[in-house]
Formats: sequence, C-alpha cells, structure tokens
Amino acid sequence: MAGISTSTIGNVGGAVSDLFSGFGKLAEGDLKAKGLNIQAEGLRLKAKGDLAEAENYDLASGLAKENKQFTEASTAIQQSQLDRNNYLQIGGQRADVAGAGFAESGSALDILRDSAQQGALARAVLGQQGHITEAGYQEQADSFTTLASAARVTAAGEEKIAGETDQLAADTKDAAELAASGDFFSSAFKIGAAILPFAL
Amino acid sequence: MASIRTFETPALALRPTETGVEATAATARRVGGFYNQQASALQQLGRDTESLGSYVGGAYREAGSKIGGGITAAGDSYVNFMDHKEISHGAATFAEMQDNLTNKWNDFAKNSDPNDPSVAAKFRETVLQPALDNFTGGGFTTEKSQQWAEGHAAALREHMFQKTSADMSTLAGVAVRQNVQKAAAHMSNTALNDPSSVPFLLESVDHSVGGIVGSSPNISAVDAARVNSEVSTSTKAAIVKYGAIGAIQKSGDPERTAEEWTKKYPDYIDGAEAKTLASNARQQIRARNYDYETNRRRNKEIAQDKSTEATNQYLIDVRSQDPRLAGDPTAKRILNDTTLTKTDKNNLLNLVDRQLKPETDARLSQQTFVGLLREMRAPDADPEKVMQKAWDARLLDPGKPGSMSEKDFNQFRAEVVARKTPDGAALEHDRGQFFKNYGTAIAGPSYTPAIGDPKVYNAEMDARRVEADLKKKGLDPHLAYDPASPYFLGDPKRIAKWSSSMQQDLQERATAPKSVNLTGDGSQITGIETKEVPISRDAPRTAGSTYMTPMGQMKWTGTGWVKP
Repeated sequence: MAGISTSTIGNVGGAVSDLFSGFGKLAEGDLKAKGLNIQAEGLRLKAKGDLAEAENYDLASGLAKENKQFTEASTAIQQSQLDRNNYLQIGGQRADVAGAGFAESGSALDILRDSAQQGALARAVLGQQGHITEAGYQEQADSFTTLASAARVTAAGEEKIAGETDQLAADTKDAAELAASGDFFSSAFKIGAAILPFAL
Repeated sequence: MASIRTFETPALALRPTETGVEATAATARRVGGFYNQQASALQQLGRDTESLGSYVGGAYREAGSKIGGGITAAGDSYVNFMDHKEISHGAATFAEMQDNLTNKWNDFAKNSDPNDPSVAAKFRETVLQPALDNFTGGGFTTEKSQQWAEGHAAALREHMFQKTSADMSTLAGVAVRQNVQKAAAHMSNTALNDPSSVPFLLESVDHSVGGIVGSSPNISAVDAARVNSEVSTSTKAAIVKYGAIGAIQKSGDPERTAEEWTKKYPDYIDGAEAKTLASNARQQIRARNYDYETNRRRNKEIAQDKSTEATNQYLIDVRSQDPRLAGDPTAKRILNDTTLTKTDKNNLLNLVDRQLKPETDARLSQQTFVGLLREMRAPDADPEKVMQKAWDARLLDPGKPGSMSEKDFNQFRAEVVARKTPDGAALEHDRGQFFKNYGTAIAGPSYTPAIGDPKVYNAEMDARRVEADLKKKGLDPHLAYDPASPYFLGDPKRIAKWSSSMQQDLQERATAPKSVNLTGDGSQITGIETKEVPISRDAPRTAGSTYMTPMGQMKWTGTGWVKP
C-alpha cells in the first residue's frame, strides 16, 4: 500500500482548488451570459426606440407634406387675388383712358402694357415663391422619411446584434460549463490520484 | 356718377406652421433618446453583471486556491511530522531487526551443512524476506517513510545477500579446508609411516585438493583459488615435513637424514627446520622413552589402585568377621566409608582395636613423640610418612618401644595438621626455634635435640597450653615466643620451673606408693569377682539366617559370613 506524501496532500489541495475553480467558472459564465443577455435586451430596447423615433419621423414627414400642400393652396389663393388686383388695376386704367378720351394707343397702351407686365411679374414671383416653399417642405418631409428609414434600419441592425449577443451569452455559458467540467474532471482525477494509492 | 366700390379682400395667404413638424421631430428625437437612455442603463447593467461574473469567478478561484493551499500546507506539515516520527521509530526497529537477522543467520549457518547450496537461499526466503516484509509493512504510512523503509530494506537485503553468500563461501572454504586437512592428515600419517611414499603423495595433492575444492558448490572463485593455493602448498609442506620426521625418527643418523631431505625438497623444508627436526627426533626418542616409562608407571598405579580396591574389599570381608570389631558401630562406619583409603581405613580399624588395650607408658610415648617431632622438623621431612609412623607408633602394643599414647598421638596429629596451614607452620617454626635456643637451659648441658628430653617435652606441652590460652583470649599465640611480650615463655622463672620439674617429679615418684602387679605371682586378691563377658553385638544372630551386612546380604554360619 502506498503512503501519504506531500504530493498526496497536494492532490487533495489541488482537487479542492479545481472544484472551487469549476464552481467559479460556472458562476462567472452564468453571470456573464446574463450580462450579455441584458446587453442584448438593451439593444432591443434601443431598436424599439429607433422604431418609435422612425414613426415620429414619419409623422413629421407627413406633416411637412401637408405643409407643402398648404403652401400650394396658399400660392394659388394669392395668385388669384393678384390676378384680380391686376384686372382691377388695368380695367381702371382703361376706364380712365377711355374717360379721358384717349384711345388705347400710344402712351395709354404703354401704360396698360406696363401694368399687365407688372401684374404678370408679380404673379410669376408669387408662384415661384410658392414653389420654393413647397420644395422646402418636400425636402423636410423627405429628410424625416430618410431619418425614419435610417432609424428602422438601425433598429433592425440592433435587433440582429441583440440576437447575436444572446447567442454570445449562450456560447459564453457553454464555454464556462466546459471549462468548469474540465476543472471538475481535474478535481476528480486529483482526488482519485490521492485515494488510489491507498486502494491498491 | 355713382362710385361703386368693390370689395377689396385683404391679402390672403395660407401660412403652414412648423410647430407640429418640429414637435413631432423633437418627440422622435426625445423618444429615441429615452430608449437609448434606458438601453444604456440596461447595457451598463449587463456590463456590471459581466463584471460581477468575473468577480464571482475570481472569488471562487481565489477561495479554492487558498483552501487548497491551506490543505496542502497542513497536509505537508502532517506528512513531515509523520515522516520524522515513523523514520525515527523505524531506525530503532531496523537496527534491532538487523541484529536479530545477523544472529539468526549465524545460528542458521552454524547448524547448516556448509556444502548445502540451498542454505543461504533458504535463509533469505524463510527468515530474511518475511522479516523485511514485516518491517516495511508495519507502521510506515507516509510515502517518504515507506521509501526510507524500502530503501533500508533493500540495502539490508543486499547486505544480507552478500553476507550470506560470503559466509557460505567462507564456511565452504572452512569445510574444504577441514576436508583437505583430513586428507592431508592421512597423507601426512602415510608420509610419517612410509617416507618413501612422499613423491607419490606430492603428485596426488593437487588432484585431491582440486577435486575437493572444485566439488564444493558454495565456495566462491576467489575463496576457491585462495584455498587451493594455501591448502595445496601447506599440505605438500606437511607431507614433506612428516615424511622427513618419519625418516629422521627411523634413521640412525637423524642429522644426516635431515640434510638429505633438505636437499631433496628445498621448496618445502629448509636446513634449519630439518636440523630442528633432527634435534626434535632425538628429543622425541627421549620423550618416547619417557612416555613409555610414564605409561609403565601409570599402568603400575592402575594395577596398584585395582589391588588397593580389591584389598579394601578383602579388608572389609576380613574385618567384618573380626569379633572384636563386629559389634562396634564406629568400626562398621569405618569399614563402609568409601572415602577412606585402604591405609587410613586399616589404621583406623587398628586404632579401634588398639583402644581396647591399656595405654602405653608415658615416658616411652614422650620419647616417641619427640623423635617424631624431630623427624617432622627435618628440612626434607615427608609429612605423610611421618604421620604413618605416628600411626604405627600409636598402634603398637603398650609398653613396646616406639609406642605412643593417645594424648601424644592426638597432639602429634594436631601438629601435622597445623603445619599444613601458614599460621600453624609459622607458629610451629617459632616454637621449634624457641626450644632449640632454650632446650639446654631447660634440660641441662647434656641435652641433645636428636634424643630429646622429658623436660623439654613437658615444656613444649606447657608452651602449647599457653598458645591455646592466648588464642582463647583473642591474642596472637606468637606472643609466647616474642621476648618483648609479657607472655614470653623465656621468662627465667618459667625456665627454672621447667628445668626443675623433672627433679621434683622424681622426688614425687620416689615418695609415692609403689605399683603393685595384682595378678603377679604370690598375689592374693580378695573381694573381686571376675566374669566372662561376651562380646557385645548389635543384635543376636542365629546360625543359618541371612542379614544385611556392609557387603550386602550375607548368611551367618555361627562362626563367619558366607554368601547366601
């Protein structure tokens, strides 16, 4: 029968150390996996935030588009009012010319032609201004749409990363269990190494 | 003319507002920010959880490491303690076991046949190995102590293996030497008795020794070579030497024969040795003659002893039938005492017989006593012979010259006994010296020590009484002969008394009534009745009956004893 030696005691001590190491690795792996899972949840939450943000950007985009329509309607109204003013101006000038007995020729005609030109210019400017404003709203709507789209893409990416993080957590746990198994086996072998000489 | 005014509408315009858009956009940003804030917190929690995992894992490992280290340290201390304890105890046990094994092996080897090749192996198998197994198997629980025990057991096994092999080889060598010596003794005897056989014997020595050594199974090659060399040479030398001795002893000219052998065998015998042998031969011849004479005397003594024994038996037979002694129990004891020599027994029995006779004359006894003392004081005196003379004197019939009284006989015996002790001899010397000096003063000018004198005799007797008195008082009896002592016998008054006592004695004798022979011629005795008194015996015996006697069962015939 073999006897007790420092290596026997070393094996027992090593077995206890390995046992604790195994339990430590299990706990560490479990907690790290939980941490990763929580981080994945955080990513998912971010994704939800992105989606919520995207929805609001969609709303903002819709509102910008409504503003464009409002601008178009407002320009049409203003042009109508300008056209009426132009008509009233030129009709008054004709009545004045006619009242003064002038024929619609010569200077009178120049005056009338100039008034018509100014009116047309004002109408064109008003229309152009309307277009500019509409284009601004359209750009704003497009911008919000782009933001919404980007938020959704981001959310999708975060969802994907969250899934991968969950998988990483699972892998971490598996790796910890594997490492712990190694320690447990090592502990068992060391206990066996300590006991075996006495059994033989 | 009527002035009809037209309705002038104010400048109308739809003014879209950014409020909703901005609010919604701000909401979107804030919502995302809130989610991000919550997500960040959650992710921080995740990171903290991971950190906690690392910490917990590290804590487990640290705890395990420390516990394991503690177990290892405690275990190492225990193992070291047990190592020391078991090795210390094992060392004493080992020494005792080694001593026991050595003694057992010595007994084992001593009682074994040195030519048996299985002795050492049998010892190792039946005694050594069980003892080693018992040693290594008992009390060693630690690996180090077991290794120590195994190491010592292995070393002892190796030592005992070598020792048993070497001892068996040595014993085999001894046995071979003994066998060779036996053969050598026979060869030497042959050479001694027949010196002409020496050449043949020398030729056969190598073959014989080689055969004996080569057939020994236990002897090692080294021992075999040594035995072969030593024994062969010594055997040859012995053969030559004994051959030379034989030849020299048989030779009429031992020195010449010795020289011849020296020349013939210069390797085995040298000139000096041969001369010694020759000289020894002459001594041996003388020794042989001496032995012959010694043996002759011894045989004579043996014959004398046998004769004495037979005489003793005859003495018993004869004396047991002596009617004067038959009824005396002392005589019976003397007869049956096996420690007594024939002479003593005869002396004693004669003494018993002598006691029945009247005492001898005191003057005759004194002369005899003085003469015996003189003989005993002679430088070449043989106490045994003088004592036998005293016996003979005592056994002489009363009135015969040379006879001695019982008192003087006992005194003489005491003198002889005292002379055998240093103190007695010294005292006797002082006494003899004293009377040598004062003899003339006591006995007168005519005193001759060789003849003796009654005055000196009386003075010596008186001196012995003084010695006895001093002894009784616890004083040194030598004081009687010390001139400085108050007990000194040389005092003039005492000397004068001794010298005059004879005169006075003669006067007393002259005035004393004369002795009358009651049974002489003309005498008449009245008032006295004489009776025939039978000799007393232990018990009345009947003729024809068998009795137990010192000689065994004997039949009484009425006049003597016969065997039944």
